[in-house]
Amino acid sequence: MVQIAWRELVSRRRATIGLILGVGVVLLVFFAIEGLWAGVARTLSVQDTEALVVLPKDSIGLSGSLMPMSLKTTLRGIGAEVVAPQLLTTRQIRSGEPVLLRGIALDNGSVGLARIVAFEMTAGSPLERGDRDKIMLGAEVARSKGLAPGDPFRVLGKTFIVKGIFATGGISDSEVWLDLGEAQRLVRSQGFASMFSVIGPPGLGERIAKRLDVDVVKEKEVWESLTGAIASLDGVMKVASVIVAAAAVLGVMNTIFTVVHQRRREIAILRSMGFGRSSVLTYVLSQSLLIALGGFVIALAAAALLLRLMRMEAVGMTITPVLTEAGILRGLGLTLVIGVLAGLYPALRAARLNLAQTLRGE
Amino acid sequence: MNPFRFWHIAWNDLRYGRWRALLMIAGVGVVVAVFFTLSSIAGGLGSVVSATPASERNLVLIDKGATDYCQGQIPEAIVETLRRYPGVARVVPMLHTALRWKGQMVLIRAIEPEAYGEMAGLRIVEGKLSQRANSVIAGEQLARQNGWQVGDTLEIGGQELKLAGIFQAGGTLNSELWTSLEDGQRLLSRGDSYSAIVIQATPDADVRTLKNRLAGSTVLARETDIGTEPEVYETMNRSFGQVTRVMNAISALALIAIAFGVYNVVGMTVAEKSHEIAVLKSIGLSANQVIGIFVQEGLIQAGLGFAVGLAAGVAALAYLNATSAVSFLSVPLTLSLTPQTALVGGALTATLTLASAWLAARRVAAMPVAEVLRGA
Repeated sequence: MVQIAWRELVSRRRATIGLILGVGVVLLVFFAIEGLWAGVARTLSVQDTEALVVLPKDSIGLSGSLMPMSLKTTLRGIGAEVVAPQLLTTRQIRSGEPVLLRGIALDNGSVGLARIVAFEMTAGSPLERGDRDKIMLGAEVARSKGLAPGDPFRVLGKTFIVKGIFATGGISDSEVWLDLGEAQRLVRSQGFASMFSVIGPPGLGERIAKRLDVDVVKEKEVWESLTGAIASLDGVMKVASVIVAAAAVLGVMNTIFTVVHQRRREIAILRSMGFGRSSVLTYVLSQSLLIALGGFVIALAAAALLLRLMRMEAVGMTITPVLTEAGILRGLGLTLVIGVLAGLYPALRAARLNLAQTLRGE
Repeated sequence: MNPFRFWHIAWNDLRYGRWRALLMIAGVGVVVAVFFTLSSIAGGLGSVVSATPASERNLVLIDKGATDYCQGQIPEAIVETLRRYPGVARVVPMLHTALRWKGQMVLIRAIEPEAYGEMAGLRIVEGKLSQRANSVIAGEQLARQNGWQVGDTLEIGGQELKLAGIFQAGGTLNSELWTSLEDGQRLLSRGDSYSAIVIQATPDADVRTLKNRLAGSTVLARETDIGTEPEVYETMNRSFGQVTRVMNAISALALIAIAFGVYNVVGMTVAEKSHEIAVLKSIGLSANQVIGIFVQEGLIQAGLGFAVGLAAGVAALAYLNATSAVSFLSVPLTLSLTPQTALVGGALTATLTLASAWLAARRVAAMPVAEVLRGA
């Protein structure tokens, strides 16, 4: 019966192509929204390291928080072997062109840096102690601004030289790293840091949290908590993308009804020759499922192109939409739902045809 | 030639195939409703900052290059300098940041509540303005959302703060928690600096002149950016410009599904009605007139679908607004359907319908009348 269904679709190729494209558009909307939020989640992530971050109590995100530098001594006193203050802030390099600045203590050079923030150099070399006039650019910043090692980069009235370009696969790809002292001077936050990265013996985090009125977490958790603040937006958009699938169901159902109506005599003949109701159900459902799966393939191919065009910048972060395996599987699930819902009712109608009346042509 | 001369034929044909027409109308309605919902979310996101009440007569100082109120440290000394400028009626320094409260984000504004409240049109609806240390007042929406009552104690940032009052103010302010400057500086470890300063011009002062004068000051120009409230909010909103454009593009993409729906329905109708089409052509109707009938069928269905979608979209937005279901960084988005969005949606629907219905119906022109009538 699946083969007959296939032939039916081929014989009506115009309508079939129209339907496949219609379902494809609907699934493309779904993939665009899935990809957008998967991209946001990937942007708001960092690679895990052995370091913990110390933040003001109940603070959200890293930029905007301020803690006195004197805390460094206190943290050492509690048992931290490495205490690396960092200053995070967002500043515009030109009107409407913000970048994320991360001032990092370079006391232990690039080796010390790698212990607190995971990164890989893709060009040039990392910052070392004493690099006050140099910066490291995240891969996304370098790409969007077209910068390479050796190029000048002007921010808040000072011109730096790009020393290296690094990649992390997360939020830091949208960051510009510079010496902590320079960052503090540029944003007039001398004596303050946004957070302290600490490394020490097991139980250090608990000891710090017990002694001081602060939060001690993994940096990864801080960024991930921000996705919670936009969860409702994500949820409503995803619901809207599923609702729009109802339009695909109605569109495909419309055509399948017509097919069933036009082929009712042939269906009745098949039934009278001994084909069961389940065969008729298979014949009709196969058509709607084949159309839906065709739309899925088209949408997947189109999404691969569309998501590249959807790369965007917001508040200094570069968001690159991505299609995850989970997103593709959810899309496939939605495709099957569209196929089944669109074909089920016409299939049941076809299976319940009154054979005698239909064959008499009534 | 009147393109609507045979509209009654189109209408009667739709009535004859009413189930197909109803499915089509419902399909278009769903797509249009989703288009309006997504466009409104994009619009709400694009104006999330400018939803804060803003006056052209208020100037705002933010830290040099800062993109939001949460960043920056403007020295306290600048406040006194500003107060000495002619044309300045009021100088209101503030701290603004977000803190976590029971897993959700709460926006905190440390301010002189009386001074800023008067500028922002604040009205206390319950309790009173906080006068004592370690007390806060909450925006009505935020209080309602969390079930806070006057007298409740909130533990935020490791400190216990008593809720002294609940206020009503415009836009996003309704979702904020306000405390005094002193409490805020302690809560946020800001020492004696501010994240923004609002300056109200005297009624007789020219705001542009005042702005230029302030921008001309070496100290202020070196350390801060100055603009009117709407200008500063607009700059902040630009950070979301690309996101808004992408979301609008996704919502417009959904409308393309209408074109395929109309193409299929009109195509099926034309295929089924070949005999009737041949009769119409044989009694003297031109191919274009017959095509016009089917294009009108497409337009009627899409038009009715658009009306259904518009109504459903408005209802969905009303529901989302009433329940504050869509928020961005804890600020409930105000979702509204602007006339421009409705016009764009209508124009796109009409254009796509016209194009797809015409494409599907144009095979009428090539239909051989004699053969069809012979039943060949």
